[in-house]
Amino acid sequence: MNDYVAKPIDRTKLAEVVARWSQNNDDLAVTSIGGESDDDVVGLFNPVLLGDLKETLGPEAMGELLQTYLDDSAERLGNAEADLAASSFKATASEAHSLKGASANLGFDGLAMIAVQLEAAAKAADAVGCKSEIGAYRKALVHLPKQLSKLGISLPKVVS
Amino acid sequence: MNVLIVDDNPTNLQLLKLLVAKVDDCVPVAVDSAEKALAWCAQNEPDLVLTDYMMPDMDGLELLSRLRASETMFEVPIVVVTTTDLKEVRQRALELGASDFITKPVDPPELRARVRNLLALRASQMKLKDRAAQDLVIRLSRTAEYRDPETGAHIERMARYARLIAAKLGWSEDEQERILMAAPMHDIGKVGIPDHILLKPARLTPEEFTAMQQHPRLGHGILKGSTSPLVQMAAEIALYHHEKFDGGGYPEGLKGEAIPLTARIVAVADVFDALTSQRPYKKPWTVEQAKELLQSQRGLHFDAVCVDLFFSDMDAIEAIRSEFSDESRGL
Ligand SMILES: [Fe+2]
Ligand SMILES: [Fe+2]
Repeated sequence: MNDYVAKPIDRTKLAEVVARWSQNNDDLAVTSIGGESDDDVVGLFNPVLLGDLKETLGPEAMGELLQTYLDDSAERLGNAEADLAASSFKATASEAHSLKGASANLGFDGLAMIAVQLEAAAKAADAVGCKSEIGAYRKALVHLPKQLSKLGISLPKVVS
Repeated sequence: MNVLIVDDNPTNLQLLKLLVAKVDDCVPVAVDSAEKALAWCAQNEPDLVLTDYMMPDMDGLELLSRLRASETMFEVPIVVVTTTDLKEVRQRALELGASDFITKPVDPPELRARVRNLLALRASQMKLKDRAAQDLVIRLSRTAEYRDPETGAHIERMARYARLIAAKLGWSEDEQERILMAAPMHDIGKVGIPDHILLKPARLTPEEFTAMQQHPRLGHGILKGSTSPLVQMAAEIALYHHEKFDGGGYPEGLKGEAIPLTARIVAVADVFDALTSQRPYKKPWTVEQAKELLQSQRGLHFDAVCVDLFFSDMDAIEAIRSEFSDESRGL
């Protein structure tokens, strides 16, 4: 976590990460055959931490954890938007902080980086910046399950 | 051992819970606010607390200082999980009595190692406390013998029967040792029963019987509030050893698993030995007769599991009976 706070964030690099998250996944699947997907994954995840978690908890618990993360993140983004609409930047920052902690804990470094930017924008009372970071986070969340499935982590099957 | 985990973020809470569950002998209890943590601690005793620092209402440091200020939690290991290594926060946490820190993102092997270490420390802390209490516990049990017309050998045997059942239930060595030491105090409350009732050779009147039934509460009053797990267990046994599985016992009329397992074990051990020993007013029952009675009371007076496990090892029962026979005592 301190990495994100201590090091100044490279805007260009971040934009790159976000772009990659938002990329069409079929393209990624194609590149992965070419052997470039490792590189993609390295930018988005903390592979050591994810590996540790997967090994310790097993795929099933990992899937459940991922589900909790997705549900909670969606809720927090919704809260952050509502806070923003009420010009409550402090509340937005605290949602961002929570998103940052959870993302980093699961090794989702790309998402944690966006959360750091959101927190910074909220602290600077930058409404436009906040909006764009929330948008970026949303996009990245949509692609997260597919990205993770490449690492052998999948959501629990929905029993209906 | 109970590990209380406090974090307002559901992802972090679930992650910590899953990781802690992987540590041997760990039972994680997860709550999403400091307020709920305090409420849980008012009813239970954690062996370790892992708390997030930043939480919306009461934060981790406030929780830490409240637990440290409480009479029973002042020495429970408390770990603060923090996203920041701001020196200030750590300094304040240390001043408030934090035992350790974990930095987010949580490193799974490190977390498990720290939890394991702190729990080992906690276990040896508790053992020291038990050892300090043990000598007095033995003397207290002897005091009970003076007041109780039951023989001293009864107490020796029933405690060993209780340990036998605990062993069959798969309890750890430490826990088996604890029930062996705690069970002899089940009737300590009888020191508060007047002589003319306690020592009355004839049948008790209903009023006298009601007075006699106060001994679980009296015993609990003597033993409760200790920081030694041994004395805590003894207090629980004293209070509930006359409860019946079907709810027909006293003092609270608890039913089934609402009765602490320690007391369900002791009920079997105590009654079996009472039946099979010689009393001034009755001949001893044979082991077979007692076994039959206890088995007929499976799920009624007694926990069926405890009864079945107890009688699954007749050799062990016989060994205890011959080693601690009434005649062997005091020679
Ligand atoms: Fe009793
Ligand atoms: Fe007894």
